[in-house]
Amino acid sequence: MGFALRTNYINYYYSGMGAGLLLLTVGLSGVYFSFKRNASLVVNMTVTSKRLINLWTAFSLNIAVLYSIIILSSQPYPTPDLITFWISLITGIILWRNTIALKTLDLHSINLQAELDYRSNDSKLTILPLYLLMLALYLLYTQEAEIAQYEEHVAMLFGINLPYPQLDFIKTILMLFGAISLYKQKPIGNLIVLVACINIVLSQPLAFFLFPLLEAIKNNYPFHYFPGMWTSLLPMIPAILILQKVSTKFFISNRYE
Amino acid sequence: MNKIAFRILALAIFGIRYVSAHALPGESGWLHPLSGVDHMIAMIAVGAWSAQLGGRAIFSVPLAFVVAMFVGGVIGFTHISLPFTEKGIAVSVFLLGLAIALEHRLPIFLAIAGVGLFGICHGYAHGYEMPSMTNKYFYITGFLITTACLHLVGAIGGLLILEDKHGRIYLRLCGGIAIIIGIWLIIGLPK
Repeated sequence: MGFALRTNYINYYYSGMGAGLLLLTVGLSGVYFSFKRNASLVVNMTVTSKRLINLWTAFSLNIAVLYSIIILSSQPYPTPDLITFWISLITGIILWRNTIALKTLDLHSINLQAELDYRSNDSKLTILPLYLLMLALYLLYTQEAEIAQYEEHVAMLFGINLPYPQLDFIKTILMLFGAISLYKQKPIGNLIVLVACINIVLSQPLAFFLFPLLEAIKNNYPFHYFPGMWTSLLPMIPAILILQKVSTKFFISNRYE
Repeated sequence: MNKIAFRILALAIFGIRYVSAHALPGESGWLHPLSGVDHMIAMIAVGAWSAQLGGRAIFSVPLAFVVAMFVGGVIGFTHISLPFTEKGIAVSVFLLGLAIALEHRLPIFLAIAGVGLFGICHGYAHGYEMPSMTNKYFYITGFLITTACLHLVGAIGGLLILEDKHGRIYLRLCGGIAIIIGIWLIIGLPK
């Protein structure tokens, strides 16, 4: 929405406003359901076929190759946030393919029997509220970053020409798609959750620490405020929690298989 | 299987780095198909249409487009005048969208011929717009690989959509979106 508010283009304005309002609604519902556990958000996931997983893997690898083309062609060189997105994309695909692609996410199960039923069709998926909370906090961060002119600062810092790629806008749309896929029990939902969480863990410290430091060194200033700095670490909390739960779940389930 | 996939990925990534290193600085062919909505939609639509046709078409139709792009690119480098290429590009988006939306199963040779014709228009535009300082071979390799990647996105995306219970309808709706974009491009053409 911040992006929409600062643009002169009417199509960007409406798409930005629409996406922002949708994200705000989805994010707020995530906050609500995180505090109030609701049975309707416990989704049963079915184990997907190998063919579908292979198709999604091929599709996501293809997207990764296209994104690599964009990164390697960026002038004069790719910025750290573009690189971290690429790293998280590749890491996410490899992790997803080798761990949870053919399995279900059952993050709130606490007893051994539930762990042993990991592959069963009754496995429950309760990652969604945490993921929606992460979305809401990420939206908060993008608001601060956009209003404080994040793109302009990054463009000046790295000596690149505007328009700087609207990565945050693309990322929020992708995350929203991930939330819908997760709710609809599509395997791509799991992949987007992994990529999004890894990306948030890797890229959020940039605005908090790296960019202000680089700006301070470049302009000989003391360490100071950089757009998005105050809220950049907030989405990391649910992201780390999700990754921790996924990894714990995976290792426990492997131990009993 | 995982090792093979990893090697293919590594080859793709480092291959791009190697060729880009020569194509850059300046406009590289790698980015050209991604820089315009007309090229991008047409290339994804070719892939999606091939998935809809099924069978051998899934390989032969995109391959015909890539080969025709190469021919068109070579004609473009030589700056031989080829009329109606911009119109051809805009019409290609419209017609490919129409083919997907109507789900009309053409004989494979007709599909290849039609797609080939569009491929020449797209290739010509790429070749004609090549900066004079850029290495031709790296430029052409770049835009052909990116084109193939976009075909794959369309083809695999099409197959994924068709996996769904209502996939055929969704794919036809995607064709409808391509029609709208095609009309928008045709209207926007300079008189």
